[in-house]
Amino acid sequence: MQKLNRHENSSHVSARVFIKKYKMRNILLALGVLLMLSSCDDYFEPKLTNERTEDQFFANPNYVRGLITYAYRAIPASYNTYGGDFLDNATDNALSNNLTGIMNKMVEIDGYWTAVSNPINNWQSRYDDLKNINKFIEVGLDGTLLYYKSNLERDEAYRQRLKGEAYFLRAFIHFDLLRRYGGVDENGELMGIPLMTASLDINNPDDLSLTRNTYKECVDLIIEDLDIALSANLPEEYRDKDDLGQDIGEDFNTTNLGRPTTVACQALKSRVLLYAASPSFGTSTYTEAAQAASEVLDVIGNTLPNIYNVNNISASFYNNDQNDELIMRRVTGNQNGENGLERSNFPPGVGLIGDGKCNPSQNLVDAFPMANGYPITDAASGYDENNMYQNRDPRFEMTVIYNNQTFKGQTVETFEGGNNMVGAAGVTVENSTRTGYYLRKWMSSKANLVDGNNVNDTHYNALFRKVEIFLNFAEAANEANGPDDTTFGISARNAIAEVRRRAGIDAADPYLASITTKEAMRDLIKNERRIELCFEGHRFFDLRRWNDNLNQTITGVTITNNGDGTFNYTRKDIVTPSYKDYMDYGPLPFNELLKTENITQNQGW
Amino acid sequence: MKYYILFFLTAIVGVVSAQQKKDTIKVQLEDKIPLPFGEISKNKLVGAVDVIKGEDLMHTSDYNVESVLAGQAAGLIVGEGNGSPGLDNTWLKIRGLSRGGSSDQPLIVIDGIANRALSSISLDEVESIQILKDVTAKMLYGSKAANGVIMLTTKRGTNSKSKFTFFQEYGIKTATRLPEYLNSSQYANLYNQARINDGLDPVYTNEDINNYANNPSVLYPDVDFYDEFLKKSTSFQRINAQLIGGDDKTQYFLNLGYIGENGLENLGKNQKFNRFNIRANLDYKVNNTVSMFLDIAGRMDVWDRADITNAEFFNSLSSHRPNDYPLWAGEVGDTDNLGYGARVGTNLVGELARSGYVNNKVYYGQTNLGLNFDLNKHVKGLTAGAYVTFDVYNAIGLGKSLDYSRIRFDDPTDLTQTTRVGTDVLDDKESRKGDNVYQNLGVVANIDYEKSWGKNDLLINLVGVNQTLTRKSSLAGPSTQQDDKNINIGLRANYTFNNKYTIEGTSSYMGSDKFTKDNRWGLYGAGGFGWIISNEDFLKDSKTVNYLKLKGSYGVMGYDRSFDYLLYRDFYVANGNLRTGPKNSSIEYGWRAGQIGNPNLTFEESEEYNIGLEASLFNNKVDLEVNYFNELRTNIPVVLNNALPDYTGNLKPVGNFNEISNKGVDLSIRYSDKIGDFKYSVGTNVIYSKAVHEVFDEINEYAHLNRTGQVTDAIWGWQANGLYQDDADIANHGVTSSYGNIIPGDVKLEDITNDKGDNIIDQFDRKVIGNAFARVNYSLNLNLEYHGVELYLLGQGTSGRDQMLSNSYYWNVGENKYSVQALGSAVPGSVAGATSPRLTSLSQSHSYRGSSYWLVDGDYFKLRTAELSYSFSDRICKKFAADRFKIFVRGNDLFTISKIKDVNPESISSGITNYPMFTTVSLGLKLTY
Repeated sequence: MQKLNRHENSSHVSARVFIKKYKMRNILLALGVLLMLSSCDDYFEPKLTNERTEDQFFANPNYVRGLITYAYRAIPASYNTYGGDFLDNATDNALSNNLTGIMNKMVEIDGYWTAVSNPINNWQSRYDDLKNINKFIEVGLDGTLLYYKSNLERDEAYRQRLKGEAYFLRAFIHFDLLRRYGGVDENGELMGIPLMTASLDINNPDDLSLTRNTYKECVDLIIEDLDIALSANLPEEYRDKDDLGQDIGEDFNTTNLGRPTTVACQALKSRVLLYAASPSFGTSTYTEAAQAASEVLDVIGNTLPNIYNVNNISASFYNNDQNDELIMRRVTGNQNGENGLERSNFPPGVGLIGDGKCNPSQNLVDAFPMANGYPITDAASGYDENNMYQNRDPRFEMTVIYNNQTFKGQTVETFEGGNNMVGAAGVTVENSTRTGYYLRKWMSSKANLVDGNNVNDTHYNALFRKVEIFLNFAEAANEANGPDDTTFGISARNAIAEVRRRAGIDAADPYLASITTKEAMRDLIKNERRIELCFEGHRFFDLRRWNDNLNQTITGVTITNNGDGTFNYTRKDIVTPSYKDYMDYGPLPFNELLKTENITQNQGW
Repeated sequence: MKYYILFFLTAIVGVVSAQQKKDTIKVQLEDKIPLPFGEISKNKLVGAVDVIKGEDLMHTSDYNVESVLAGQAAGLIVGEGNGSPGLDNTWLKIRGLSRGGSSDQPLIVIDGIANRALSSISLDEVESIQILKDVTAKMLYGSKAANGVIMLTTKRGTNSKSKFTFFQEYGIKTATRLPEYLNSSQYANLYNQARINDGLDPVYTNEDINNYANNPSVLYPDVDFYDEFLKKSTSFQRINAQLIGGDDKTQYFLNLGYIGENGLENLGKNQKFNRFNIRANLDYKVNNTVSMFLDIAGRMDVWDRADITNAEFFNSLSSHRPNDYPLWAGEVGDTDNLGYGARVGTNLVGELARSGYVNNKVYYGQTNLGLNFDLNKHVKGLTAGAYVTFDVYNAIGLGKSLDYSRIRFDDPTDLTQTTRVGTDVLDDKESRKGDNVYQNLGVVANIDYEKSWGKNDLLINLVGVNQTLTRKSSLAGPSTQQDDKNINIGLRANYTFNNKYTIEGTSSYMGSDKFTKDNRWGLYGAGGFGWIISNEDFLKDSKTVNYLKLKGSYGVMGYDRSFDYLLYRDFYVANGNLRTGPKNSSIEYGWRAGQIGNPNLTFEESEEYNIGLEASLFNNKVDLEVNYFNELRTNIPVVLNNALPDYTGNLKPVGNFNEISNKGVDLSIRYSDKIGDFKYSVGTNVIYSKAVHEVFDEINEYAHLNRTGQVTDAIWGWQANGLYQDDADIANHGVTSSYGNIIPGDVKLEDITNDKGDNIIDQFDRKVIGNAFARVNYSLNLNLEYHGVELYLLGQGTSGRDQMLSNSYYWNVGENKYSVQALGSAVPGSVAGATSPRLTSLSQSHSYRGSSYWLVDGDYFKLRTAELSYSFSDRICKKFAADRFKIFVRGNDLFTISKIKDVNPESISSGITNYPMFTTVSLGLKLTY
């Protein structure tokens, strides 16, 4: 007890001494605590965030697979992605009534399309996707990362499918860049784009000063990538039962519709080689192109499915994402469908209340032959200028909404003072047609925009459809060996005949029979391509690769109602584009030229 | 402009003519100036610091601590946005745009701790506010202080007889300026013209227009929204009670305040704002060595209003056209039915009266608990202290969102044909409309040493600060909210020889949580000198120059507030998805790189020097301080968009790259004198500043688009040359526009890039056409006193500023509501004399975009504050048993001089997109016992 007391005392004393002696030190201690805090770096460590660090990322197969999932954005899910307009709005196929939209400016404002303001520029985004794909190829395919740890067989098959997807996407993106930027550069050489086949190191000066590969090198790599994709484990089609009636697992069944197939790889090959053989490029031969197309025909057959049905076109084709015509498609929006396309392009006015944006031109209307197969300019056609829309190719009816046509139970009036023209209820200059026509193609007749009665429908972007292969083949075979050569099984004439048969042109088709020369056949093939593939983003590039006239005056029609059930049609010139010759090839981004040393600009830009 | 110069000249003449007067008001040079973590006598100060005394802020009926600072200090620039009840809608800049206008707000420090808002303080609690401007003054506040520091100190008790003050004020507020809009018939007429201009048919028939004008009805409504929905005036009330006192052991400051203000809403629910605040600052001396202090402050702000924000309300007033809908659908059944218009859809009466309510409460609590040690008996001149602070802030919104029906008339000939749009929702659950919390924890420790020997004076402060701000929003906030963390250790040594020559060194070791471990600490330093010339022999006995000091400082300090967190690391994020399968029935998620980290990121730095002169002249009647400042901000973080080719992908790292210089002069002069019992003083604060992009990450097609070398507040736009008079004029000019058709009455824009002969007006034809931030900000202050009658005037103005008149009031385009500006619009055929371009019914057009046509001189001068007060004589005070009794009448924003006459030149969208600013007149009294 005493001891304890003494102990207490002494500690008390020493404490007091401490206070006296070390009061100063106490205060320093307080500062010291702060200094300690500061030396403790953990204090400054930020909180855990929801992003994944590199280590976390590469350890997780779902994340790594996500690299190519993200790159799929390079495949558009709809057609009207050019400021809300179709790429065809920058061609003689149609005008947009969005006067300040980029497509319209391209057509109407001389000098608007420059290396600085390029409405079809997607350089940076697509290279961003290539970066993802290359990263995936580097880390996701070597077998160290397992997608199905418990089933190595499935893992292998799945990884092979991913490999096919990755190489298809790389080819698809490289080609998308190539057709926008490939061209004769200021040194007079036909150049492509800088090919991206591996991850770049931003600290490596070499990687920051790439040059453009030649057009041929680009085509070669695209073909090479497609061959790798074809040798990987992509199926010919995604289906639920195999030939024996067994269920196909989720990695390869129809839940994968929208991913590339071997047919899609071949179709892309056919397109790439056709472009490369075209007059503007000419780095490969039409024989190669015809061969590539015929390889697809070997798989899909020589007959086209009957999708055209004037009374039921939405359900049979435009809004049916599983129709037989499709080789690969991407569906718009989510599983509930949507009606954005109708909102933009339905005619304006009571009941339809669209924005009437895309206005097919009189030029396109005139391009449709008569139902008997004769072009309207042919004396034998039976065409009547005062009854323009009578007896036309059935595809016309399914592509264009014209005056007095019945659409969604309503008679469309595009005559002056009509219900779907300026001045009518809900129709302003901003949504009424400039050409006298509204767009029918891709529109769902099921969709409804009226408040309270809203109905959605399925829409898609048909990336590759069977008819394109027929047209590719016809063009290549005709150029290579003329209309009637059958080196590749069928002739160009056979292919075109099948396209026209399927479209509903009279079986006899005396006009086709009357064509004998390569040149006349070429014109017919071009015209068939134009009307079959309109509003699918082809014409803009087709005109350029053919070196054709980009500046056809775009025309429309003014219609007056005679009041007795007849109408008076007056053709009108609306605008003549002022594309320059050098605009067969697009401009490389101006900024990119400033930022790099070795990338050359195409001539003229 | 003339007026301002006149004002200024009057002030100067006053100064000069009064040279001869003998009586002086002593300038107290020994006044201590509070600096970060210590105070220093004014004559030893080497830096640039403005001091605002709390009592100087007590002349105004504006109760917001931020806006009352306008014009109070030479280095501080304050701009007001709108007059929403209970909110500080202001911006503050010290010495202009030190970072070029973005993220250059000053650091706010209250009672030694940052991360506190000025708006958390009640004006009655303010002892003084220091504006720390130069690098030596700011240094010790560390890595957030480079834009300048506003340092507020609250009042404390005194060792004297306790003093109780009671204050009450009641006032009326009227909108300073409100925009004027057209009525229905005027609108219909002009909209028809707009349609004709666009080549379209008119929409309104003559009969329609006639009905709007002479026979308004539910079918032809003619609603004056501003008139119907806004009161002519609103009122506010302030009450404050304050007790100060103590003895040598205990001192206390106790304050209790109330503010009540009503909104302008006339129909439906009128907004009510109430504020209660309390504060107790206590000091207790434990013994000769240890003393303690405890400060506790709490505040509650409550807003009660309809379920519509102030911005939504005013945006509705300024966008709902007079003919959009009748407020009441009177003809149908009971008269309580609201009208409906398809274009708008809602009904503003319904929004205010039937949409439910919101009750927002904001609670602030601030506490400081500290210990001070007087260690004189151990080491002479040594003191030390430490304190801990803890603040909480909680904002909670509770309310109900209800709905209401409107009546649509379907047949113009038969008013019984109606449809009810929407349904009446009269009951719903009360729900959370907002929930934000933050906590601020701070620890400060300091050691001060002061010693004088012979002719030498030495002062050393050593200080460490650590503070952490934690935020949380329970409603839809970001998924991770980082804490703001700061550690700063600073040292200041100030040495004076012979009371003439001072040198000071100050240094700061700054910690930051924005960089990698290797880059988290930065050591920065600054030095300065002071030379009191008036203490030299040759000036010692001068009657003209009573005090004269030359001072200068130079240093570099770090800044990290402009950096986001974790910029140094690479990471990946989920992004995008792929849908596959029939009708997109399956989904798979995408991932991509989310950031290219830059591990080399380090502090942004501010290199500054300041040269100043302080003087008292003519028997101390004139006080003057002028400073030249030159700041160069380097290593400003910027996304390096131009360093990497675009073929490397979308992501670009952030790097330390841009540089901005900011130079200028600030000046304050005060002349004080008296003639018999008549005392007066006049003063002015002036600042000139100009910030320039010295280095800017950019690549442009044309040199005239480069920002490098341009002022940071440059207004970019097209050069306009009046309006096209007629078709011949258009043909002569020979340009087309990428923005729409050109007809007579459109703005004639200059085509400055025509290298391909294209003659197109496009984005590349823009250039610098003006500057948005005033080069000169100034204020004038006049104080008169005679036998208890006092007059206080404070005016504030700007010079060298352009204003783009680009809001919806000036741009009557598309389907917008038309203001009176539309009356002066050009009509093709008679363009001459028009005051605005031809109207257009299209939403995009050539004329309505930022060109010099819309640019006007944005300068203004405002009489911010006027107060006339009378202090009763002691004899009368005794009757109230009071020591002092003062009554006053006050006015705020009584007049504005500017070329902009229609809207408020300080904020042209006030009253249009949010509350207007107010002119206030009030009465009040102050009793002291």
